[in-house]
Amino acid sequence: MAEAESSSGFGDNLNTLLLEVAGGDAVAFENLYRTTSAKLFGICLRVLPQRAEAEEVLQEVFLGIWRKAEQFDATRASAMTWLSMMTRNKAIDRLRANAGARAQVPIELDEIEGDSSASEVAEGAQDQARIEVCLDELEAPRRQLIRVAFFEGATYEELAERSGNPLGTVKSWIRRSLLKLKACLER
Amino acid sequence: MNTIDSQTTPPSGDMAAEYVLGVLDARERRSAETRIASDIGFSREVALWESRFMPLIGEIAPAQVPDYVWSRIRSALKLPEPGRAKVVTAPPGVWDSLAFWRWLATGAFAAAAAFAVVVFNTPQGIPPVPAMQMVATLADDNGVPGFVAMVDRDKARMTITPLVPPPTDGRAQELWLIPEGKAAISLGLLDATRAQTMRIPDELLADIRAGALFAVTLEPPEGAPHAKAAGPIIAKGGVALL
Repeated sequence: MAEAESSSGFGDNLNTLLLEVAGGDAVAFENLYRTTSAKLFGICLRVLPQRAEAEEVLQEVFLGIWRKAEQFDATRASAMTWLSMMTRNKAIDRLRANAGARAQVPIELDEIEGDSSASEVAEGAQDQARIEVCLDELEAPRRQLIRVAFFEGATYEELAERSGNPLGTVKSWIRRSLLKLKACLER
Repeated sequence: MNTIDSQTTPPSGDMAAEYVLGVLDARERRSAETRIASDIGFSREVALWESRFMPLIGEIAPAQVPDYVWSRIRSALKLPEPGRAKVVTAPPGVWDSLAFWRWLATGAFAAAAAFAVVVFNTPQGIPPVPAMQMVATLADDNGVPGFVAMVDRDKARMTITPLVPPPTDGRAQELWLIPEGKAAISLGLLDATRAQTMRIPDELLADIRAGALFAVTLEPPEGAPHAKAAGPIIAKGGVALL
């Protein structure tokens, strides 16, 4: 599944570093930190704009990596996917633990089609990733909600409140969008 | 599995997808995690959704991590401090250079620490300056460095260097030590215009270690050192072992 990364030297190096960390190699651990912490900190900050909280979560993440590196299974996920998703999960858990602490920035839903923010992106990758192609197939407001949910870890309730739509509507939009995404991703 | 529900009835949730997307509340996340641990099919679904969404992570800009985060991790795990014994000397003058301090205050410092010997040893025949054992970068809420503090515990001295212009409203900058789990203690007013070296009272020496914070607040110059900070914190930062 992680073709893009495992084919590159970077991904292979991370896999090797993680294996060495699993073996208790402190130098490999420091190298892993130097290589990945800025990216993982960026992930924390998207979910937790309070820097102090984001720093604490990043610290937790690396304590977790040191202790659980042996749980990394290269046959199931690339190293960067494993690290990024673990980071995101810890950040979202922290966000849920102090619910309401985040400023509720309104989501202005675009009604205009065509302006895909997803395609601005993709650093390093020439071709759009499949997920971005599939997101582009969604209607703009649905795509926007999916993106806010993913990047900020927003719950259905938060998305409903911030976008000014009923909870049932938002739930139904997102669930339908996920079904469409799945169908598109499996095509 | 591939069928899309009719457009009239709201579909039921695909918990693996919703978990990865990040829309579940705390309770639902717990039950998803329980399923990940116990249901191999479900955990495969989650892993599949994670790899599908992973390319979006590429859109997130990396952010500079303050140096003290690594120090905290290292001390929490009791990892050895590689190269610590080497980072002891610097030519005189380097400590007074604002460019050096600005460089030090950027994240480049931690990565460069390993190479400090190369940087510091170049001029030959210059007497070494004393070991500077701890460092703190004091930054504002946006992460912009405002002061750098270097602590020499052996000599019970610290040097603090301002990187920001002095306040213009008549208030003074007061330096505080916040030992881990304790209330802030004033270390007195700072000269906002230049680097200064101050003596650390013996009773505070033990409190200056990883986990402690330095902070600078704006206070009226009268009555300093104050028992309690009343003004805004303009910069703060954790103490890290060098």
